[in-house]
Amino acid sequence: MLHVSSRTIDRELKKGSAELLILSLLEARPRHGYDLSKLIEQRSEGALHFHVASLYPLLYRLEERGWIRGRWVEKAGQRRRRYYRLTARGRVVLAGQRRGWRTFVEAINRVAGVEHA
Amino acid sequence: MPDWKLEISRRLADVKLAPAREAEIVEELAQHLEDHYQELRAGGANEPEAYAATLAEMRDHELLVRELRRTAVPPPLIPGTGRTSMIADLGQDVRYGLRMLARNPGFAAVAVLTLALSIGATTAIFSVVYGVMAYWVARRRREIGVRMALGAVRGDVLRLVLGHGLWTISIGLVVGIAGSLILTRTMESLLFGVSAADPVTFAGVAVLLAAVALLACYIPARRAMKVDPMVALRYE
Repeated sequence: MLHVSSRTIDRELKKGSAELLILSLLEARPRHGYDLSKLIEQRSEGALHFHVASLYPLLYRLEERGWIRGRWVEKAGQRRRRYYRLTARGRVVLAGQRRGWRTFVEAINRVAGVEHA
Repeated sequence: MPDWKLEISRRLADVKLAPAREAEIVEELAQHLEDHYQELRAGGANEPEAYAATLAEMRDHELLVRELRRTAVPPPLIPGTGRTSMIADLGQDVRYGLRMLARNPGFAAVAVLTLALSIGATTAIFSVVYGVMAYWVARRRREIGVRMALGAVRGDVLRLVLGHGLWTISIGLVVGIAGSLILTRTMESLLFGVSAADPVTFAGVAVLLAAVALLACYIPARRAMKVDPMVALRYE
């Protein structure tokens, strides 16, 4: 597993990879913003945390590009929440970003002499 | 329970968002903050702790404001400027319009029907007014001839015919507007961005139709002005 500490990672790099994180998490099923932020924190074992003020701009931007689509969903006994799902175009982008990320990490590892995880 | 919506609205006050969009964003973010707060509370944090930690989520709100502002204000689009020409803009607009109509066949049908009805109504008004006035002028040919023989000038004849026409048109407008006000109530649900009794629309349509009707009066009036008194008097 890839461990990325938010402190050591470049800010721009984090921004680029943030898209990959969101798209990956939406691949299996639609999720709302809070769900996404919790999952990112849990799966990165606390290394990554998105503030509200940075998560939602990212979601709105991805939605604007047509990669994800938000929709209000009402469930009985709950307040309505906005669920985001991956669009067909988002799926294509995700595949491309995964490839790009893998190539990038492998290249860094080769240069830095880090053992492949 | 803290009012998250208020906290968010305050921070977004600078962004000039459309009210509906702003309400959605405020609702979505408030829901997130509330979830976060409740979870902290459930985890044993006391109220002030949970409140402070939740508000920290909005610490970088400048980022949010900047991003929303970027998406909220579209770059100014002036037709005919930039990379595309006016013709290309027009083509693009027409294609967009057709695409929207193709996507909503129901709306397209209503739009085409409305357009057809309005063209039909305008044509009908023109023909009817023209017919009535031409008949009126033909019947009063002799009277007009007498008036002209007695010294009426062309302007007097024009005033006579148009005056009669205007009187008819005014009655028609009053009855028509009253009828429309009643009828349009039934189509309120079909309209977007305009009320069924929109004063500007009503005034615009009334002026347009009155102009058409007046034009229809003017042609017989011109014919009346050309009446030769001698011919008209000998006519009967």
